[in-house]
Amino acid sequence: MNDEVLSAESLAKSYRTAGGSVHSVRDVSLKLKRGKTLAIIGESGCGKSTLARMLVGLEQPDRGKVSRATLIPMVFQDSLGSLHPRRTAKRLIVDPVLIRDGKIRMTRDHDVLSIRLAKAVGLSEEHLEHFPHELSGGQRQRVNIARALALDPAVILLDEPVSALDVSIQAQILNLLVELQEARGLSIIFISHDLSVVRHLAHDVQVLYFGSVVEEGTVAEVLTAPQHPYTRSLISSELSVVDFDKHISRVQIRGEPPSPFKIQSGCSYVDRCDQAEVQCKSAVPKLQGEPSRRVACFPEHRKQSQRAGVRA
Amino acid sequence: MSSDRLEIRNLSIQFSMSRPVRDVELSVSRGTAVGIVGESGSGKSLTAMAIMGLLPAQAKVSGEILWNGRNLLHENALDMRELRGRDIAMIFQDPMSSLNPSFTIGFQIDEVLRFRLGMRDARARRERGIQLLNEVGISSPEERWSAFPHSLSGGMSQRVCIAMALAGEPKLLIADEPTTALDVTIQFQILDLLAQLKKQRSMSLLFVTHDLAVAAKICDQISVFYAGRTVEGNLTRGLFAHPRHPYTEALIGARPNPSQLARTRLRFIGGSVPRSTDKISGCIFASRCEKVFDRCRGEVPPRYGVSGRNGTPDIAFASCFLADDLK
Repeated sequence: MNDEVLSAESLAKSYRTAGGSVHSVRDVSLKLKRGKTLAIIGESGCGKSTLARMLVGLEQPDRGKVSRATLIPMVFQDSLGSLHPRRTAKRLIVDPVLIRDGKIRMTRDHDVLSIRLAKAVGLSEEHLEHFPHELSGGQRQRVNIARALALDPAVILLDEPVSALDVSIQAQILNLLVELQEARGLSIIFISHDLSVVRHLAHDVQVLYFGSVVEEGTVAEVLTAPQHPYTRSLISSELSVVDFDKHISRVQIRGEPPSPFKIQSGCSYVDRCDQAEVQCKSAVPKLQGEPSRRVACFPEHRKQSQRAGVRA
Repeated sequence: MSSDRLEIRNLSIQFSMSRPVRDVELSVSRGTAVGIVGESGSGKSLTAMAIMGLLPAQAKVSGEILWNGRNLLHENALDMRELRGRDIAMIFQDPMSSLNPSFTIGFQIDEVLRFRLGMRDARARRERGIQLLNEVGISSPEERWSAFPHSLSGGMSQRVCIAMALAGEPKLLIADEPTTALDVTIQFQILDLLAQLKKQRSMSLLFVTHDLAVAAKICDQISVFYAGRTVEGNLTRGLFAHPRHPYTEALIGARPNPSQLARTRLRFIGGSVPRSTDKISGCIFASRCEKVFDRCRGEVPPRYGVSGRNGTPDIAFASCFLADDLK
């Protein structure tokens, strides 16, 4: 049985701007397994959102291919901006169904469906009569999730869905996503910059830097034993309320990300890396390792082959 | 001798029907970093704006904001202008919109040095400006001097804003969510920079944030705001080790943390924050509190706290009937 509900092969996308071409996504391949959550993490400008748009089909890749079985609904960060201001929550939730069926008016069936979906995401019937501006941020994000579920999809994509919410509300939405996934066997692509959220929610993770995947694997492996120097510095930049006063040796990242207009000849992280070598400046490292755990870094590749040599 | 102490007593802010800030108490002594932590609508930014005298004219403000004994609420506009930038400076969440896009970085720093500090000599101003850019960690400051804000990244822009704020040698720096718009790695750099500047200049810091973890990293003391009230205050370590107010406890518990098993239910706070127009007779958190009992709904809990020596205000306090062990 095919266990992949979504896959993408060497995607690339650049945009032409007044300042030259911006290479937003350079080389990303991914596979989403049924019933699992794949998180894509990275900082602003690393190509997360462009990747998301290609995965759902809002953008065509310049290179590469996306294979998806069905439509993939998307939930955005801005819960207010993504809802039509003059439609009630009920109408917003069933809109995908109306559009699919080429209908304009809501019928009894749509009422029933909207109530069912509202319940699934923890909204009351009363909320269905409200307009987006009358709902709180958390309630609006629930409407967005309900709407994404309207066509009973196998996969949904969430682009920073909790970043704009207060922490107590964020917890509710995260609980909801875990419940929905378990109840419906949903597969989720979860785009986020927040490691604590990813650690909580995701099974697998890809770390994106400057348009390419630098490391991938299970959350447990990548976030506890990161191999790529960028992942390491990302994790040491994470702040926590638990062990904030412990003295942890931090790998501080230097400098700022490179300009997206330039294509460097070597590894895109080389200027900020503390273990850069001559080779890193001239050649681009590819993802290597076991299928479930790969990293794109020359010094790490050498360690891998040393380990393999010891075993052999 | 001036002790550079900020003390807020009983601060309330009212807009026609609403009271978004009610009876706030806070103090910042020299060289310490005090965090104001709260969710959106908790009145944390309004409090910061009130200190700077930047509230809109229709705001009715009562209580006292004492800076070295002077009540800033009674100062006239001219005196406040003198004070802003010199004694107290502020940086904001969005560094891009804090800088004027039509002028170079150099021009904007130069302006501060010229008009705030009255430095006459253009060459001395440039020298000082470049020194400031250096101090906030901007590489090749001579080149950046003639750069426009759009050519800088978010982290760089925030560094420039910090340099501008430091130009007047402030005794107190108010930072309103200064790292919220930045990436985590850059956030870390900026927090380190602020901590280092605070130490070098023995400057006080009032740090406004929604993120407990950010406050934990940089602040010596934290004051937790909820719906316009200060519900709890303590030294940072104490606050996380023994949160006394149920709201603080819930807020800490709502964040996913590495020691918790993944995908287990997170604690959350049911219901929603009372509106600033609501009349509330009891504890402000009563409607959402898990530990609520009858008394909470009818009576405002006093600040149970430990007083410092020489009548200095409370080091640790909580406005909750369950915290009366603090007496």
